[in-house]
Amino acid sequence: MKTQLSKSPADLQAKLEGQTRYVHDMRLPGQLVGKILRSPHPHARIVRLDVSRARAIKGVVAVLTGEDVPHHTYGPTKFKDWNILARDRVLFIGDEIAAVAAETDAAAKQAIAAIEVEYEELPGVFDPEEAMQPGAPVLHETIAGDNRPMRIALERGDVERHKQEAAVVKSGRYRSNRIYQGHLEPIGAIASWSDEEGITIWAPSHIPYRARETYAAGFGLPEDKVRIVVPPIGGSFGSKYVLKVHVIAAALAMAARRPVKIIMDRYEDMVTAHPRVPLTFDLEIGADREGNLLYKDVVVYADAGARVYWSPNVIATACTRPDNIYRFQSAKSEGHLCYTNNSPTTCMRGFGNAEMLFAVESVIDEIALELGMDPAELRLRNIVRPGERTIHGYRLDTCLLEECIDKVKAISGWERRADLPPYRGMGIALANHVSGFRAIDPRFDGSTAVLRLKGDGSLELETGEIELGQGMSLSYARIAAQVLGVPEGSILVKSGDTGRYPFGIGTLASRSTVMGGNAAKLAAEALQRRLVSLACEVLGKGASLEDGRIRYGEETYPLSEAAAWHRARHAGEELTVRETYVPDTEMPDATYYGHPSPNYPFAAHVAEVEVDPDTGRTRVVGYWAVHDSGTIIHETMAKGQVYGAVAQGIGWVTMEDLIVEQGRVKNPSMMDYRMPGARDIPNIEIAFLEGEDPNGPLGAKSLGEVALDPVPGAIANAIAHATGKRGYELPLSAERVWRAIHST
Amino acid sequence: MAWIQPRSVAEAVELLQQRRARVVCGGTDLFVGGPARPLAPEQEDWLDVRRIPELCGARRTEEGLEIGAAVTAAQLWEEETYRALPALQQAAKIVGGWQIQNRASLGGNVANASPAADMVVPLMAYRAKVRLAGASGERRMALQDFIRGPRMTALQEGELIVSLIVPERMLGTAQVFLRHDQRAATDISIVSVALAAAVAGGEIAWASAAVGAAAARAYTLSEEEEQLWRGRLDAKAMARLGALYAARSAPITDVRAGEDYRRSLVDTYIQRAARTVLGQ
Repeated sequence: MKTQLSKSPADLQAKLEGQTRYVHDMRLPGQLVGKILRSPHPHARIVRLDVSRARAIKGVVAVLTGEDVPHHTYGPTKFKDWNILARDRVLFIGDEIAAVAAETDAAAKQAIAAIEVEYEELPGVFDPEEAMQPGAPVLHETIAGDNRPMRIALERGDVERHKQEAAVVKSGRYRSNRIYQGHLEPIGAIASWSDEEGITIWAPSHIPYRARETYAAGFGLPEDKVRIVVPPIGGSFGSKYVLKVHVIAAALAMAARRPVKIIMDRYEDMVTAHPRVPLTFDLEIGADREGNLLYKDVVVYADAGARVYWSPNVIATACTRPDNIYRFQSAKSEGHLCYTNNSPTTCMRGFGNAEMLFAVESVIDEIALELGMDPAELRLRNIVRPGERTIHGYRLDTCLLEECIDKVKAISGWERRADLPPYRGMGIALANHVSGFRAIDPRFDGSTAVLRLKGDGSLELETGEIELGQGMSLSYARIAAQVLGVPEGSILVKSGDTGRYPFGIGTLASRSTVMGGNAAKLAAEALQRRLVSLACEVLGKGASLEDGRIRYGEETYPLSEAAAWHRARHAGEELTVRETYVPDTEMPDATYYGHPSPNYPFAAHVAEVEVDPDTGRTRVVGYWAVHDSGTIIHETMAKGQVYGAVAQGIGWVTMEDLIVEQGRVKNPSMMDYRMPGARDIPNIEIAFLEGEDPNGPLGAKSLGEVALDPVPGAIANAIAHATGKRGYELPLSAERVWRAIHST
Repeated sequence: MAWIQPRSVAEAVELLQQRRARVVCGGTDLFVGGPARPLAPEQEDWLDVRRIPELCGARRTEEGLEIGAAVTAAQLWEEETYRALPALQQAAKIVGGWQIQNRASLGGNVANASPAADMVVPLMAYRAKVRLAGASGERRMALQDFIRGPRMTALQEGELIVSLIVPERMLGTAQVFLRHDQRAATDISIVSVALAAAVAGGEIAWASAAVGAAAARAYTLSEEEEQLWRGRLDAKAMARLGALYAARSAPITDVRAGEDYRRSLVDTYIQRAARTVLGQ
């Protein structure tokens, strides 16, 4: 049946053949080229801004400054510190001052160059701890006079008492770094304006509904006067959420009354990048003599950069989520989110959990070393188990963490660890994650799917979630196909248009499989009921749906006939069902206690490395990843998630670093920002331990982020095992490892 | 802007006198400088040397092996002719990726004079000469004198590089090129070392080494100092050599590596090169 339908625009084959059309490939009639003038200073007052020469250039249609755009209070989180264009002060290198729309690229460039700006440079602050000091330059007076928009303080159990009781205490200052998400497709957007429909933006965003709400607030428009259409996304990993480029393209389109396209080149993309939030952890963990973990105590400093993107959610995750892997008897977290004059930082796969786990898993290995215990054994002794409620309230209906550890030991040959040659090492690390997070939007959670029977008997499934290339569409098609007994290829999954498809909270927090998948399942079940009742109405009692066909007695009918029956009775309207899944979760309270996700995936990874002691260069020579993600819906795509995550983690730990000094990116090119290539990635062995989770569609839990979460810890532990030196700061580049080996 | 393709050295030299043209071969450096090094202004012409037969191959002469400036990295590591120069072949095989190797030329690597250039390093170790052609005729000079510093050469207005000449005594010696980089492929050198040595019976009769990316330009020791390479190098002798080359380095600290780290790598890779040619 209709196998060609499975070729959605995001289909792998289309990408390989160059058929996929990204926003860069789109061209609207009358479209103009948009460009942005950005601050060259990390902190400065705009003394004079003159765009008259730019406006006079032939081919220039619109030139906007902070004087020409609205200044509503808005932003993607509750810390509303965004503008459209700067009016009097710029806060980071890349901060937007003016924008131009012109007929040609050359005219737009010329206009940008013709804008005259005089700055009075102001002292900047670039380190979160310095930003909190009295006398530091204040970035947003009305939001945080102390540069600290968010502070977290939570304690469960009696940490002070456990500090007295602990026999072994290990601690250290760990740092995770700025990671450029490394999306192949640079940031870009096309915007248009009409008086009837308002703003339409074509932009790769995987939270388009939140983007719509944010941008509407920025222009003082009702939410439904902004429509976001999402073309195929050429990689995001967290970089393509809510972006100023989208807003500025819209402002230009409103001024020019013509569509405006802004596409950044790699240089602009990297100079203004919103990388992974860099975090500093002062972490201490204590255990008793038998190796029972007693407490965890951490202070986290996060560099939000000059405006708040998604850093609050990242630091909140870092301060809580990893605690839910172990049976800590008490835990205390203090978090400080600070403004600096660096480019705003945001989320990336792992979202604070991977970062904190790097520190936690490192310290747990240090405890094992001091106790003379096998690191895997120490973990087995302390992990959470199915049926438990974790320290912060997560209800674990399923948890195969113990089995994950056993399995990863078996497939990696963990017993070899004791007899490895010099400078070879093996490390283990664990991870958990969520499948959607209740506090992402405090107002609601869940997902809606619309399922429609087409005249030819094929199906269309509409969702508010977003395909990122991760295989969401394939998963939803498979879920609905299994319920209805139809071929997967007969279901076309459609998403990515806030004006057409159901509301979606967004593809973040590893939520798409469980949230949207449950909605797809509910819709398929509803359609099945509707089809059966329709068949009974038309054919008589006892009609049923079997293997994707209507059965009545000995006769069977294809779904195209059922489609015709329905249309005949409903003025030609197609048979459509709409179902909403609302998860049975508990919103975390003010102390971050709650049950925020329908289920929780787990993983145990082992890395094996070889370190060259003369150069410090690490080669990852073996990697084993064992996952409890419940039922695996699409094994090929699931493995793709794990391969990609491990490769991303290898890059993160051994080489990647967006170097920023005094607010300036020092390596804004793919030549100087090194990411791993195929030859840096070893054979990766993956095992899925499939248990059915009662809350997941067909028993599934999430996978996208939990696949990256343990990688930094596993490799860091392997390097420490190989060299006898603990690495505290990511990346553990060759030079850093060399310095550690040669330090006394 | 015009794209000119002369068919002989004489024609190229004449065109260079007539028009303001920039010599280009594969363009792998010239076309991708990024915002830091913008392309030439539009009124400038490009003079593509890839149609000049003399620049596109190699020939044996009394002096040694003369390699045309337009010979590509891929030709260097693929073709039989260059088997006698394994260090150059190894360097050619590590430059960029395959697409780059199909375009990047030996002459271009020399003309670009990047401190981190790969193919320049074995040429330095070979004590290669550069043959140049200009309005006043031909001249040749030692590569060591030709490359003056980062992106600086002795190339004069209206001149082009015709070939690189590798001395006869280098052909067929034991050789190695080693590079330290950040990842396993398609990278830029942090430190590189090329060594050519006459080895017999586990003993070095003479050797010549060059170090790349650890100073403003690739460097060698004086021939007098190179006497230290002679003999059966024990660990102590190798350490002495490593330390000497490291002492002669003048590395910078940049986004890729720190100065002291680069210096230590010079020591490490000189010793590794020594062990490699000795089969240890």
